[in-house]
Amino acid sequence: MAETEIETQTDLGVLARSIEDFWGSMLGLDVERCSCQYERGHDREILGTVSIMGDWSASLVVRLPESLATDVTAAMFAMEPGDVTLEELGDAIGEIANVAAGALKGAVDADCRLSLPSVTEGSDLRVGIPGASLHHEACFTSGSRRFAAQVWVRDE
Amino acid sequence: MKVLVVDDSKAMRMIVKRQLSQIEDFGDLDVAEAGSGVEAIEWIGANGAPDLVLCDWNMPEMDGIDLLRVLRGDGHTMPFGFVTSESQQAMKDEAAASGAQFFVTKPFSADTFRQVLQTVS
Repeated sequence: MAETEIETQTDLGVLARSIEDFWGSMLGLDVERCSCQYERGHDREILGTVSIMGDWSASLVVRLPESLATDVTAAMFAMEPGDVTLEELGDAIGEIANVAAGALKGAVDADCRLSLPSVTEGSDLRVGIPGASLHHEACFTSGSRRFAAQVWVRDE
Repeated sequence: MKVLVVDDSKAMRMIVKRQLSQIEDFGDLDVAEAGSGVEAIEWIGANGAPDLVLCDWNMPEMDGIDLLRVLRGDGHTMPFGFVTSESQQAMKDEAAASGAQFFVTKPFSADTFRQVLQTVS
């Protein structure tokens, strides 16, 4: 399949809907896609990444400030935010990336598979995927906090 | 009804259990968990076949499709379905060809599982 055909099939709306559905129906949290920009430079962030490999190669990165990631994890595990461990944080954010990547992969008519999620936590994080470029970024608000889903596509 | 939820993500297992607990029409569901295909096989060996298996597709060590094939190869006939972020038709076809009865794509709601339980009971 030609690169241009794959590119035009990438449906950011499908990605956004999957995140909104996950937040709403599975977590019971408010979320809204916004035209705002995700603010970098948080004290600490959590990034969840899933790669899509095959006839179309890309990476889906979800990035959240740690406070929002902690609250989302607490909602998933039905626990208090103060009790969330790093392991649970990784599990939860990895799963969000997994669901979003699955929706994106489903929107692309190509033979490809998902990787297992990877999760990164730290301060002043910069995302760089060698051989790929940032093609799309969808931003969302949950309460007053913003998070983003990025689509990095392999360079030809 | 005894349900076995198989997913390497503890968060997702909890979400599935929570969604199942919201279903009122099927009495008390006895929901067990396994964190991998290997754990699922061990659980079934120790506890007998559940009435329903809800299984993720992409897992380390043993994919859900491999678990399904092992169980069917061992003669287990319990209803088995995937709860996964995968959605491509080729995978749904592969699941059906291997003996799965349904394919639930994440994200999902409690109503999704109500329909699944209605189908298998």
